[in-house]
Amino acid sequence: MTAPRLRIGLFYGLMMPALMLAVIAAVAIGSTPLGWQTIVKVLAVKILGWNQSGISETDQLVVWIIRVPRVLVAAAVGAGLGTAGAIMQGLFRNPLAEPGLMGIGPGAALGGVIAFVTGVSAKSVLPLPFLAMTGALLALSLVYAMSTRGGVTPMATLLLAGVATGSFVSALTSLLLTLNIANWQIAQEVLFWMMGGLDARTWTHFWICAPFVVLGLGAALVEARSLDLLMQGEEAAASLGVDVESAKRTLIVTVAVLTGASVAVAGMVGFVGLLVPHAIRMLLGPSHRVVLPASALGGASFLILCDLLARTIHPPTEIRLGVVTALCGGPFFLVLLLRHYREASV
Amino acid sequence: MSVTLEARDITVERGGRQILRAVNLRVEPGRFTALIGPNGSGKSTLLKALAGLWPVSSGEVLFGAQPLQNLKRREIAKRIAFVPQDTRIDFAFTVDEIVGMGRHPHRGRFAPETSADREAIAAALKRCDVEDLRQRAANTLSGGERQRVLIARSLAAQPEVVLLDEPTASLDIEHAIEILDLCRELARDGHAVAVAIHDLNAVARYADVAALIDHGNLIKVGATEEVLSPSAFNEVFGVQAEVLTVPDGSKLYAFHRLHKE
Repeated sequence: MTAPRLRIGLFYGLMMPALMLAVIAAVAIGSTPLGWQTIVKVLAVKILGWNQSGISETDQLVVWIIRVPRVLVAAAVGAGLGTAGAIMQGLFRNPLAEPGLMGIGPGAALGGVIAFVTGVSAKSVLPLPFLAMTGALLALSLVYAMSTRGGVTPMATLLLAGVATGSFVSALTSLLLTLNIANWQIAQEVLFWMMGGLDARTWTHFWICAPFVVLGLGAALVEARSLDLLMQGEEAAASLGVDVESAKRTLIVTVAVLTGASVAVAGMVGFVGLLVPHAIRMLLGPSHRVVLPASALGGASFLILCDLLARTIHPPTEIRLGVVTALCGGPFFLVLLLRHYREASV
Repeated sequence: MSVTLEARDITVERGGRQILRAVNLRVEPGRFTALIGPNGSGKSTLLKALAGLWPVSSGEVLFGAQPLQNLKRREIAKRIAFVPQDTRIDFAFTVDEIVGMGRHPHRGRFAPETSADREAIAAALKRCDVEDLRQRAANTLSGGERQRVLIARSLAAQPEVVLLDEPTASLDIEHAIEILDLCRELARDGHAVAVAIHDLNAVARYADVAALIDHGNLIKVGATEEVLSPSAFNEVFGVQAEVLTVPDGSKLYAFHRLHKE
C-alpha cells in the first residue's frame, strides 16, 4: 500500500524535528556534558557571527571542533548509505540488496587498508578517503566492464561479477591485514576501519563526504521515476520509454559515489543501507520520489543515534560504529520483517 | 489513429545465432493477430522486435511509414505498447501507481500529473475493469487481476499498437477468456493488436489473423482458418488435429500426438 500524502507529510513533519533533536542531543551528550543553551550559543557565534562573550574557549572547541563535525559526518554517511541502499534494492528488484554488492564496499575497504599499510594515512588526512573512493570506483569499473557486452549489462551478471570481485578484493584486504598483523598499530587501525567508526572526525571529513552525498542524492532523484519503472522489469521499463542501459549506468555510478564517499570517512558501516530503505518502504510505500529522500533523512537520523550510542554505552571505550548499527539494526529489522509477513499473511 | 506496424524482411540475431530469419508481417489496425508456434520458435522475439525492444540485424520495422529505428524510445513508447510475459511485481506499488507508470513517455522528469494523465489513467482502469482495485497493492493481486492491471498500464500510454507476450499463459480458463475478450475489444476499437499465444483453440475463436512461426521462420500468415490447417499442425507442432465444428459455427481442434516410426 502506498501512503497517502497525509502520511508522507506526517513522516517529514516528525522526521525533520527528530533529526534536529538527534543532532542537538548528539552534540550535548558525551564525556563533557553540555547544556543545550551552550550549544545554541556556540552555533550562533559560529554560524551567525554573534558576539562570543560568555562562552568559554573549551566549550567552543568541544562543540564546534569535536562534536558538530562528527555529528554532521554521521548524518552525511547515514544519508549516503540510506540512499545507496534504496537505489540498490530498486535496481536489483530485491529488498535484500545492499550497497556492498557489486564489489563497491569491498573495493572501498581495500583502498582504505592500502592507505593504512603503506603508512600514507598517518601523514595526512586526505589519502585515506581518496584511496577508499578510488577503490570503490575501480572495483565498480572492473565489475561493470566484465558484465557488459555490446552495451548491455544484465543485472544477474552484474551481481555475480560483483560478488566474485567482492570476495576476491576482500581476500586481498585480509591478505594485507595478515601480512601486517605483527605491526599491532597498523593491524588495529585496519580492524577498526573494517568495523567502521567516527572517532576524531573533523570538518575536513565532512567536506570530503557531504558534497558527494548531495550530488548522489540529486542524481538519484533525477532517475527516481526510471527506478520505479525498472522495478517493473527491464522489458517493461523499456517499453514504457525508459532508456534502460543509460538509467542503470547512472544509478550504478551513483551507488558507487555514495558508498565510496561514505566508506571513505566512516569505514565499513553495515546494515544502514539494508535496514533504512526497507523500513521507509514499509511506512511510505515503494515510490522512489518518496523513498529516496526519506531514506536519506532516515539514514542520517539512524546513524547519528548509533554513533551517540557507540561513544556513550561503555565509556571511555568507544564501541565501533559498525558493531552498533548491526546490533541495533539486526533485531529491529527482524521485528519489522516478522510483522510485515504476519500482516501479509492475514 | 489507425497505423499498421510492419516487419519487413527482419532478421534478429542473438549471441551469433539467428532467432528470426527474414520475417515479413503486417500487424494491422482493427485486427487481432495471433503469433503461434512451438516453444522457442521466435514468437516472443518477433513481438520484441516489433516493439523496438530488440534490434534487428537486417530488414526494418515500420510504424506507418516511419522506420522504428528513427524514433526515440519515448516516441515508440507512446505509440506501441508491449505487455511482457514477466508479470512479476515485487514491491507494494498500488494499482493506481502501476497504471500511472504507463504515462511515463508523456511526462517530463519532474512534471506533476496533468488532467490528461489522470483521464488516460481513469480510462485505462475502466477499460480493463480494474477500477475497484485502484488502491490495492499490486503484489497482492491474483494472476488474472495482475494481467489486467498490466494491460491497463500499457493502455494508459494511449498507444495505437498493443503487443502482448503470452498474456494467458498462467491464467485459468475464465480469466484467460476475460483477457482474450479484452484483446478483441481493443482490436474492435481500432488498435492493431498482436498476441503471442499457445492455446490454438483460443486462436481459432478470437484471432482474425494468425502467423505461424517455426524455428525463426514465418511459415504461414493469413486468415486464422486458413493458417490453422491440419497440415500445419502436422508439420510444425508434430501433432495430428481433428477439426470439430461446434453449433455456433466456430471450429474446435482436438490434438493427438503423432506416432513417429
